[in-house]
Amino acid sequence: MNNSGNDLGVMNASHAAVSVGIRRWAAILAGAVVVCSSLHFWPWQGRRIWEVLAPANTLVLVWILSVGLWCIANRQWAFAAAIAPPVSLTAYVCIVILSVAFAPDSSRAAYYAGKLVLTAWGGYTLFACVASNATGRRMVYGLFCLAVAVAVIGCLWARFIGMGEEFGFFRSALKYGTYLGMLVPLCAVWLMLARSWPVKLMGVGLVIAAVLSAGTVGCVLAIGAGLVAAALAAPRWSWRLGFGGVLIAAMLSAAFWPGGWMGPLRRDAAIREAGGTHVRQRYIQWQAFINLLEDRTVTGTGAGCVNEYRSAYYGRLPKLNTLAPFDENGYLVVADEGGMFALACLGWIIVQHVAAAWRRARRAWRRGDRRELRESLAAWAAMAGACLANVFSAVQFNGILIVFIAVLALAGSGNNTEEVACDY
Amino acid sequence: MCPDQFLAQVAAPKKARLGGQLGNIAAVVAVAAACVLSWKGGLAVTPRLPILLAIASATLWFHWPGRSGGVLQHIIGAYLCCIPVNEISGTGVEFSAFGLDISLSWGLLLVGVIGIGAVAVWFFAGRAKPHTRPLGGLGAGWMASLSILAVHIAALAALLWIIYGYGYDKSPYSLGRASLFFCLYLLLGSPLRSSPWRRVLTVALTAYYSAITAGLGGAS
Repeated sequence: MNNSGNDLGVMNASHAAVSVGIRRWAAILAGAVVVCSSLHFWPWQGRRIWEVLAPANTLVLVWILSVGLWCIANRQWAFAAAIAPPVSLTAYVCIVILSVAFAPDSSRAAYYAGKLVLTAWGGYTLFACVASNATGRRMVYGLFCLAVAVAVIGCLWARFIGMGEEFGFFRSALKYGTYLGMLVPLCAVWLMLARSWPVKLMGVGLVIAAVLSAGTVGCVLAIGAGLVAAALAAPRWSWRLGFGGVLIAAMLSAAFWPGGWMGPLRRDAAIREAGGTHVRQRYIQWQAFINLLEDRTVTGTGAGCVNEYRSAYYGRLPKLNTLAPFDENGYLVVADEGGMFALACLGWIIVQHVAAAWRRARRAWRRGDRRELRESLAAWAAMAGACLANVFSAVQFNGILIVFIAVLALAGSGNNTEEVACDY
Repeated sequence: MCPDQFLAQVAAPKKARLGGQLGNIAAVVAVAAACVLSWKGGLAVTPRLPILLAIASATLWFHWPGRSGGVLQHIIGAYLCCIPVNEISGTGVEFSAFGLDISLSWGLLLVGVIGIGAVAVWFFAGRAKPHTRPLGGLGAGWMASLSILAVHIAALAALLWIIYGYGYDKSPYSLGRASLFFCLYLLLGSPLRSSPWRRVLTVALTAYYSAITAGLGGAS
């Protein structure tokens, strides 16, 4: 993996000098993508063309075209190689593309695979380019804090002041939960490790507000997992106590919040439904997904086509038809659609980036580099949150995937990239 | 093949050289047998766009540039080799021995053949340590994915047991099948990294997927 991706640190000075302009362009686009991610598909949710060409996706497309043309025109092959995604992500994309061969509806599978290539490949190159220097990383972390604040305030406004059923700019509680599950640990850890007390308090407030606005158990668990992971990796007891204390404060706030307002969260946490006699449809579907995998272990159902087959694999369990949109298990969906090779590639991506963030954090602590430690701990916490959020929804949904890709790029970036680029 | 590996094989005695290739021979024979069996028996999972797989298999003929290219080629090659095995994994041979009715999946038998080849390499080629480390870290990804699957099966079984009084609806065959393909991925590493053997596999796979694309014989 030495010649692939996320390690702009290996570039020499001449390459770095040549690419100043393109890096600034990348920073503008990445900043806009981060801010637009908080608005999701607002204001035209449900319109297919808008959901494909939403600002975040369009900006990534603009980036791919502009950087591609720039590299070709200026023969910047070294720069292109330096910002290329790691081979794990490329392998995952290749397997998804090949799985189109088994899809019952080739056009839908091609559309799904195309979106994945655009967002995963293009998004990674964009964020890897920006995150290759400290200024770019600081900008991305700061804008993510702003984006999460906008999403949480929008949700709180819609639910508690507007008395709406929607979750702010996100119509789906599950998508909103996945978004927060990844980003709240990232932003909270980054803010709480700042030197300024007002900024630290902003991190505390963000966690409490996010838990109060959450409508899914997956969101709360993901935020908890992220903070626990940060506490485990933190080198100082005061930091550990801080992360643990904030988590406990957020849980207590949710417990004493008026019951009617926390209704969606409590309904989602229930494991029974249909009069309390049946297991929740979400878990019934897990069994269908696992049974489906037995027949299509390698081939999968084709990208985006799992729903064509899952009904035949419920076994003895009833199909209750009560499943909310996006209430899927990301790991099992990947395994069913692309086969075990796709899930193995996803596992490889996660292991690789979790290990990269961990090593960066340990090395930064040994060197006494507080800024690097702050960033790597935040990325480590975000990876833990993403891993858990993917159990109760899926990080590869349109509009959410770009955030997951940004988190991966942040976890795999840093000033000292020799270990990131090594072979795991 | 690395120059030092090549020199070691050339310098080795003839018996050792032949023994060193037994693993590759077994792998190629097993993949070719899987292609033939699935083609003759009809496909359990029919590809709707087999031309994509035919093109992908044809590209394996060339050496993909760079280390990342090599890793990617290994993964794509293993994926394409595993598809015919997946097609026949639901069927197998049944026989009676020692008063027991034994049923063995074709997939398990073929992995056994390749495994025996790998053991033969170790035995005949002067106990040379086989290069089993999976390229590019996908091995860690496989372990992570198998663990994810096992945790889901266990959690679901516990949940169903508490609420319905019975556990997971089927035995965890999915996990067993996934483990089988992990073994296949590991065992196919050697032939896919060796240019001559990779080309033999390329010919077999391209012929197989081209036959499916053309709608010939039992695979149509």
